[in-house]
Amino acid sequence: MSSYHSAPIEKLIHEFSKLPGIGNKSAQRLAMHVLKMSKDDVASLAHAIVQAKEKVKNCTICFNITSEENCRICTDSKRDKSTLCIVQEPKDIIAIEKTKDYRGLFHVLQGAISPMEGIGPNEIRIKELIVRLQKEDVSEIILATNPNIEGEATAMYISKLIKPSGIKVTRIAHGIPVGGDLEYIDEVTLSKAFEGRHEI
Amino acid sequence: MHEKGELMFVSNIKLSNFRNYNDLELNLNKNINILVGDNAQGKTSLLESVYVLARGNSYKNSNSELILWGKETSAIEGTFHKKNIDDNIKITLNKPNKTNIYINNKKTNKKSTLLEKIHIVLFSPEDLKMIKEGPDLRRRFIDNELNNIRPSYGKLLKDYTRVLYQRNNLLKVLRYDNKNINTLEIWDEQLIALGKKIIISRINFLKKVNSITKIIHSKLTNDQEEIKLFYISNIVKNNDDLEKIESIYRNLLNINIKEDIQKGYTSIGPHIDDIRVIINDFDAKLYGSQGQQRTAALSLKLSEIEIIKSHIEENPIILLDDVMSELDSKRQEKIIEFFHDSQVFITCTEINFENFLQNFNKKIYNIERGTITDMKR
Repeated sequence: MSSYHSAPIEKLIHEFSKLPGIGNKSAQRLAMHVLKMSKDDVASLAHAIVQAKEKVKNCTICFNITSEENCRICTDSKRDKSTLCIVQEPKDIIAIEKTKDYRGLFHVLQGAISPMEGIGPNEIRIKELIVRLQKEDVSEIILATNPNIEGEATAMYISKLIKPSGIKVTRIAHGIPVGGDLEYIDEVTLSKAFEGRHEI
Repeated sequence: MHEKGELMFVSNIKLSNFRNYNDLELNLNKNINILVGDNAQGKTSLLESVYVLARGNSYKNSNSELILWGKETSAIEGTFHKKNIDDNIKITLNKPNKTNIYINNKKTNKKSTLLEKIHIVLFSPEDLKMIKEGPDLRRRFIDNELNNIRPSYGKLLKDYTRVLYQRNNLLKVLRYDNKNINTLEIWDEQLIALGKKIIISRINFLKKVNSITKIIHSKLTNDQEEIKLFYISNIVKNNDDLEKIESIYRNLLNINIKEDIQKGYTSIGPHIDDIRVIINDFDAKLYGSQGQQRTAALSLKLSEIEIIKSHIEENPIILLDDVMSELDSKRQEKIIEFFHDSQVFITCTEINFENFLQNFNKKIYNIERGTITDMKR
């Protein structure tokens, strides 16, 4: 398909197709769109990409993405510093922040334990978490890793590591989405929800 | 045994560019359909098309391989009936790899919708090897069954396989670097939680299969043979063990850890369990004749169909792909009898079971190089 294009376009399509969620066809569409854009707009787009990459770094406390030394959440004096929510990726913070219910701080692991990918506890930010717990006065850890095999394994690992210290460790619940109809929920989620039922 | 089941059947099928069929429209019989012809004439392809229509994919070819050579797209269409409900199903296959499913002209992308609507059981010569071959075929038999009647079982099995794979990967690393040895337990705990559920599901299900297989097998052998099935687990040896399965499981994982690290492989768990088939007090795999092994496999397969029937209160469509030639005439006769109240598709090279077909509603299709003629016999 790509041999129909001249070398610079082919290169652009190739670069686009490396992005997540972008297949060959979408990459071609994006490349064609870039060609139609004004030279100023293209320069502005390219500049924005480079700027973002150069300016954005990890918060030195929680490893969220930020353009400062520390992120907006870590520097917010109104946040409850005694609660720490552990997530895998910065995008998980955004999801939780949207709820506007959680007022504590975060810690981004930047991954989950997965031997098949060669990721052990040392490859994610667990050591940094332990150091934080020694320095800060944290009374509760909320484990919000993904509800899949690797997320569960990581949560279990952290919980076993921290529990002896006496800090309260909790895991977010999984089950039925709020506002949904029971009849539309898949069997697996539903049987999980039954397992995790609680007395009212 | 389950006489009250409703008959489900496909009344017509339309193929375009499917395997060796350019264009084909065929009315199908509600009961027995016999597809007869020499090898490589297209009888299995026709049977396969019914399977694809019911499942959205084949059991032996990838979807792009189903498209007639030199063409880009293929379509299969047919109408299924049960009780007073008709469903028109259309599957389109597009190169390189796009399958569309239409139910009553409405596009759906979920194969599971088909799975819920249409019940079909394939019976292939592979199934007859179930007793003779390795334990994986017997495990697959019980897993497929469980998955059919309990959708969450499939997810359980998938998760177990994933945890096992992660654990095995870790074991391989631990062989030369044991710094992460303390992460072993996070996989072990998940392995135990999932493995326990699999073992208990299988044992309970096998109890059900056992009682049904026993009746079917004694029918097939004219009361000459008694069949019993036992779940062979390296963790649970008896009923008492079931009570404390978790602690036994954990203990065994710990005992085997040195060896597991050496091998880079988890040596205990439901992934290596087996089903032992006992006929008249001897192990059918070790001491059974080929005929006995095949009959036992047949009994297992037929009990599978009984269980599906009782579960869905419906008689699934049965596909017998080259199975008849593997059986002697007595067994062939029993099979036809067994399926007389279902829609059945049978492929064969010759019909040597014609004499006992007389009392049944049947249609015979003669297939020669992709063209089909109805035979009036």
